[in-house]
Amino acid sequence: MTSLAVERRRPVAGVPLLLAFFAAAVAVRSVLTGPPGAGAPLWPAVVFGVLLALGALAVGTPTRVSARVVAVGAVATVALVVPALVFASVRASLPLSSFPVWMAATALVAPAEEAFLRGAVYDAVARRWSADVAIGVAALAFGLMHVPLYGWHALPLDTAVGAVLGVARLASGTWVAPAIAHTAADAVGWFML
Amino acid sequence: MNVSRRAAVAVLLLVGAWVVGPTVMPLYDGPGAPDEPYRYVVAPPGYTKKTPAPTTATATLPVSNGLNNAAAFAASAEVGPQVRVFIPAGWLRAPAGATSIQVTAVPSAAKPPLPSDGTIVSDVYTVTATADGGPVEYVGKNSQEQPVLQMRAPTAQQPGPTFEQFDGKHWKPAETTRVLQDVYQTFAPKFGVWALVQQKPAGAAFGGVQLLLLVLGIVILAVVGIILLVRLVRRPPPQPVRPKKR
Repeated sequence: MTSLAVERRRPVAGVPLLLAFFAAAVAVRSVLTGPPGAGAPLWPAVVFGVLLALGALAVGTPTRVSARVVAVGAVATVALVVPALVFASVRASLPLSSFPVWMAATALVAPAEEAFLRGAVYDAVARRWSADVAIGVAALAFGLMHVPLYGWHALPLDTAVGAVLGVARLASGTWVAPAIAHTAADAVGWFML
Repeated sequence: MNVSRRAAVAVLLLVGAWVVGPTVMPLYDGPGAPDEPYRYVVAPPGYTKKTPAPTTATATLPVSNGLNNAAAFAASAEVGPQVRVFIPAGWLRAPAGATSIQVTAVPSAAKPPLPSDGTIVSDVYTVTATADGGPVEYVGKNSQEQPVLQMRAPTAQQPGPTFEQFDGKHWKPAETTRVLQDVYQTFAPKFGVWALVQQKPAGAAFGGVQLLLLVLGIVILAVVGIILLVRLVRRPPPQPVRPKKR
């Protein structure tokens, strides 16, 4: 209770401020990426991840790693991957030779997104309103951030993915669990494209 | 609501999104999987990439009571596939005695007559089906599910191309939906010859709107960074929790 009391008094960045930061990072990434078809570069995504990581570091968010956190991350990974296996009709792996570089970038970008959305944004919204609102706001932001790259059709699926990741955040008490699930689901996606 | 119920709701939302959403690849996020360079049968002038030949999408379906009793899904072998064909179960009728149906989408080069309203930017794909060498009919027109054709464009540049179908004399536009950054979809209620056609000359890769977005994004980032910095500098130290008086 003591730590919670101290946390509640700690000044937090305003939610609009955080979301403005996020929207700006998304805009910069989208523009720098340019036409994202063949040969789309990875570095704008890395810039995006670094910006989000800096934002999360500046605001601060609890970071914990424990067996429970890893377990929650694993369960959330299963929750994300199984529906994709059941419902996606495409089955083809991308080339293994490109995987290490892509995975290295993903291992930076996905946790950075989680530290920002399920960390800083979630904390700010949960303190001001509730955990459910925090899950919803972070999920919606997660869905919206994909629109410039994938189009509006991606919004329902990615928002739902964000909701699963938000519940993982709630269950584990830290952004690390959704970061594990997010990174692992992305990695599986490489082999299911 | 406890965590278990929230988790159940979230998973239901996820399943619902998969069920009602368009057929998309299960890539949730990440930096984005790069496509391989587009494979042309005959590359357009100025296309310098050395690529293998494009591949044919093929699917073989069992026949039951004269109809395909399973959905047909055929995708070519490029990364990502340059063509995907989906035909629901019950849509194809095979001749009597046939045991299987082969659905194919074969790439070819564009040749005259060409579309009058734009430029073909993809390979031309001929979608056909045969049953043990015999003809196959489309019969499931009243089905709720529709046959779908997806094609990947050489780039994701916008405005993107649209589908057109060749009727033997002319190219005719078809309703087109962008389902992925460089993948387009149309309903294909009959076999035939399809291509992606760029209706207008592609705009510059880095146009005025994008430049404005970039400047706006950088300005917002700078302002937000300064505000965060000021807040951090002004952040008061945590106050110790005093025990409550009894």
